[in-house]
Amino acid sequence: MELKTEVLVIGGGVTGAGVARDLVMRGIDTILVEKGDLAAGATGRCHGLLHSGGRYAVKDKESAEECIEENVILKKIASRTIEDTGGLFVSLPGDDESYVDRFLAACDAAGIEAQVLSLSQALRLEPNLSREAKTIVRVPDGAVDPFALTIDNARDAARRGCRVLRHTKLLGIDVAKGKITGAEVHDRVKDEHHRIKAKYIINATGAWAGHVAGLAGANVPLTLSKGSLLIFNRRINNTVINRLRPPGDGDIIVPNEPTSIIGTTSITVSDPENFQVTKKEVDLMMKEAGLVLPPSAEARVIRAYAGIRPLVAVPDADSGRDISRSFSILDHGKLDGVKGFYSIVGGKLTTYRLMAEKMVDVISGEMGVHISCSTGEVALFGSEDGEHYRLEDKFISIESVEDEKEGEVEEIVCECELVTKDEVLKVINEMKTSNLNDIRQRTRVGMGSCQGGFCTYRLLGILHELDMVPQYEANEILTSFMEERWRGIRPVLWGDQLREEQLVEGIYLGIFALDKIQPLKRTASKSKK
Amino acid sequence: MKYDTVVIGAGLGGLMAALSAAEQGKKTLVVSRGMGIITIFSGTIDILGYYPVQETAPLSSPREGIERLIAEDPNHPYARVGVEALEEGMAFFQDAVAREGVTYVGDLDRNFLVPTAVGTIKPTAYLSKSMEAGDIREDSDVLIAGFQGLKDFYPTYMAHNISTSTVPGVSTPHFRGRILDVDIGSDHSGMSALTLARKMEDDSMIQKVGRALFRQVRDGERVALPAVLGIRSGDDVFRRLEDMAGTRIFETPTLPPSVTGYRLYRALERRVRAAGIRLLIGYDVHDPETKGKKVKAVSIAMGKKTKRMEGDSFVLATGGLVGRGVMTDRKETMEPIFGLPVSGPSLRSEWFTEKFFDPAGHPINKIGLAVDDRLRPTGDGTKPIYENLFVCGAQLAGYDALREKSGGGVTIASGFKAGRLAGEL
Repeated sequence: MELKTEVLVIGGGVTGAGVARDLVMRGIDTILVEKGDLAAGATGRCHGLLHSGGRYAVKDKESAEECIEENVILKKIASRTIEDTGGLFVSLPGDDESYVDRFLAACDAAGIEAQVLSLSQALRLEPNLSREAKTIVRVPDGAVDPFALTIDNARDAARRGCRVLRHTKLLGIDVAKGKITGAEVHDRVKDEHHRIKAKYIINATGAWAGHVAGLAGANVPLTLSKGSLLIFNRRINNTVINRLRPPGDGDIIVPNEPTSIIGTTSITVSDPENFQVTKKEVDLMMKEAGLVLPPSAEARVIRAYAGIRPLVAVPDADSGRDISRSFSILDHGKLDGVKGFYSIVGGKLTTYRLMAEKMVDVISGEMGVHISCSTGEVALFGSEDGEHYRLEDKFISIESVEDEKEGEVEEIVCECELVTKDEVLKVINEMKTSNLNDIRQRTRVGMGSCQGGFCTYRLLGILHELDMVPQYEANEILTSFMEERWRGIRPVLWGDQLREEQLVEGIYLGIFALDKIQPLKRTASKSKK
Repeated sequence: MKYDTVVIGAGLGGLMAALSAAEQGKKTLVVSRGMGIITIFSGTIDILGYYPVQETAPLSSPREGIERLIAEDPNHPYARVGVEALEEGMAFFQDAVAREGVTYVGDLDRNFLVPTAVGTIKPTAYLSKSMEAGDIREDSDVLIAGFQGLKDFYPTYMAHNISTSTVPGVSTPHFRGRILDVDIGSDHSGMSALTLARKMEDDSMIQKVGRALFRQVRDGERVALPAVLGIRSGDDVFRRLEDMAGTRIFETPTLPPSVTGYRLYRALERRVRAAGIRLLIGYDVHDPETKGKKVKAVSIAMGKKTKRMEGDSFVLATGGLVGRGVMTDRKETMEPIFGLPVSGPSLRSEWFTEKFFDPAGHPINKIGLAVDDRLRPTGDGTKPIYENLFVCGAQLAGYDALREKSGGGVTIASGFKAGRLAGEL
C-alpha cells in the first residue's frame, strides 16, 4: 500500500509520541511508526521519575530549570499519568556535607522549591527512612507512568488525525538528490509492506537512532549507557527518595503503583538489544537502598530490568554519566547532506514535551508553518479533569463495579495486581489484540509479585475462548512469554522470591509439562519473522 | 515429652516416615509448620519420567531408567535409597491410602502417559484411580468437559493443543472440548476447583453432572474432567459419577491448589491419626539439643509457648526451597534447624542458567543435604554428622525432581526408608 503524509515520525517512545502530537496540533499531517509496541525502548524501561530538577541543579543549571518548568506543565496536562508523591533528598553520615549548601543554593537559583525538614517531620512522611539521615530536603519530584504518558500522547495525536502504526518496522529510507522522499515499512502483524511518501522524516528512535540514520546515509554518534533498576514487591516509600550527594549509582527510589523501584547504574554498552542486569549491579543497588530505607534489605525484589540511555556522544566521556542529559536536535541536511531528515536524541522523560516542542519548531520553520506550540497548554486526552493518579483509585474502581452489579464481585485474572477479567476483555476488544505484552502494558497483568507466573495461563485461556489465539500456538506463546519473563526474574532470585519461582517452575514443568514440547513445524512459504 | 521417633515435617516424606516408624511399633510424633507441597501439585507420583533429563522421549520403564541412573550417578537419592526400598515404599504407600478410600494404581515397570490441562503429555508412574482412564495409548476418543464459571480450566485450549503434542511411537486419540450444560452455581467472580470439588460431594450435584455427561458423551468416548471429584470421601465421587455417566472418566489437574493433591493429603493424614501417631501442625521447630553425634531433643513453639520434645531418633523432612528446609538469601544457603551444611552451588551466579526451560535444568534445583546410604547427613564428608538423624524428601541433594519427573518416588522411598531406619534405633 502507498501512504502519503507530510512528516513521518519514526519511534513510538515518549519522544516520538510527543513529537507526533505537537505536529498534528499545528496542523501538520503526520504518520508515526513504531516497530514494536509503544514505549518499547528506553521509555518503557526507565525509572518513572518526574524530576523536580534537584538532581541536576548543582552541575547543570539549564537542565534543572528545564526540569522544573516541565514538571509543573506535565502535572497539569498529563495529570492522570502522574502520582504527585513529592520527593526527599536525604544525606547520610559519610556523604559530602559541603554538597548540601551548594544543593540548596542551586535549587533556589533554578526556581525549584526546596524545603529543609527535621527528621521527625520526614519520618511522618516516610516511616521507613533511616534514622541516621542527616539533612532532608523536600522537593516537588513525582512518579510518572511512562506507558500511560506515551499512550496518551499517541492517542491524543491519533484523535487529531495522526496515523499511528505499531508493530511496523522501518526497512529503508528513500533519498533522491540529497532530499528525503519517503520510506519503506513492514507491518509485522499483517505481513504487509507499505511505501510512505513524505518530505520530512524525524528519527526519534533512541538507542537505534544511529542505525536508522544510517538507512538515510546520515550519522548519529551515540554512546549507549545501560541503567539497571530493581522492583520491590511492595511500596517501601511514599515519596521519591534521592541521595543528597553528588549523583552516583543506586541513588534514587521511586514509588510506582504498589511497588518501589531502586536505580540506577550507568554502564556503557555497545548493543541496544543485548544487555543484562549483572549480579554486581543488583548487590550495589540493594546495598544503597538498604542504607537510606533499612526495611528494603528484607523486602522481596520481583524483577530486575535495564534500559539503554541513548546519549549523543562526546569524545572521551567514559561512563556516560557526565554527558549532559540535555538533548540534541540534529539537522542532517546541514550535517550529512540529507535534506528533510532530522534526529532528536538524548534527554529524559521529564523534558520530552520540551524536546518535542523544539524539534517541531525547527521543522515548522522549514515548512513555513506559523502555528506555535500549544502542547503545554492543552491537556492530554484522559487528563482533562486535572486529577492526579492515586493508588487507592484501583480499589475504588473495583468497588464501584461491584455496586453496579449489585453485590457481584469481579472475576480477578491477576491476583497480584487485582486486574479483573472485564478490564482485560476491554483492552482486548478496544485494541483487537491478542498480544500478551499489549495487554500487560495496559492492565498491569503479570507485573506483580509473581510476574505472570499464574495469570498468563488464564490470559491465554480467555483468549482461546474468544478464538483469538492462532490454533495450536498457545503453548508457544506461553513458553516464549516465560522465557522473556525469565530475563527480568533471574537476577533477583533468592529468599522468598526464589521460593515463589520454584512454585512457578512446579506449575509449568510439573503440572503443565511444558518443558518437553517441540517447536511447531511451520511451512516454509509464509515466514512470520 | 518423650517419643521414640520425632519426625519434623508433615509433607509426603514426613508422613511416610512416621507411618513407617509407627509400623514398627514406635511411639511417633510428627511436628510441622505446614503440610508441604503435596496440596499444590498434581497428586501423581512420578518415579522417573526422563533419563537423562535432556531426553525428549519419556522412559517406558521407570525401573530400567533407575537401574541405569544408579549405575551412573551414585550420589543420586535413588542410589542411596535402593530399588528394594523404593518397591517396598510404594507398596506401603498404596496400602496406606487404600485403607482410607483412595486407590492409587501403577507400578515401577511402566509410565502412564496422561494429558495435562494445557494439552501437553506427561509421564507418571502412579496415579489416583480417578486419573487412570487418561492414558493416551488407549484407543477411545476423549470428550474434555468443562463447566461454565469454573476458573482455570479451558476445554478448547486443551483440545486444540493436544492435537499437536506427540510422543514418539504413540498415536494420540481425538480430543474435543465442550462446556457442559450444567449450572454449578458460580457467580460472576468465578468458582475455584476446590469449591466445586466440595460441591461435588453432594449427591444432587453428582446426579446433575452425571446426567449432563451422559447426554453429551458419544459412544466409545471417555471423559476428561477438571480435577473436581470431591475431597473428603476418597474415590467415592469418581465411582458414582462414572456410574451415572455410563462411561470412563478421568480427572485433569490445573493450577494450584490441587484437588487431587488435597484428597491424597487428607487420606494420609487420616491414616497417620488412625495409626496412633501424634500430629502437631502449625509449630516451628528450633534449638535442637545435641550431644556429640546424637540428637537428644528439639524445641517446638507455637506463638509464645515452647515445649521440648525428646526422641531416640529424628527424621528431618522439612522440604526443599519451597518448604524452607533449605533456605537462601542474597549471599548464602543454609539448613535452618540443625545448621547442616548444604551441598550444591553456593555462588548465586551459579544457581540458574540463561533459559527458564533449559533442558539440563538449573543447578540450584539439585541443592540439598548430602547423605550416606542410611540417609544420615554427611555434609561434604563421608561420615554422618548425626547418627540418629535421617533425612528424606525434597531436602535431599543431588536430584532435579522437576526435570527428571522423580519427585514423588524419591520422597516416598526416602521417607519410608528413613522411618524404617529411625524405627530400628
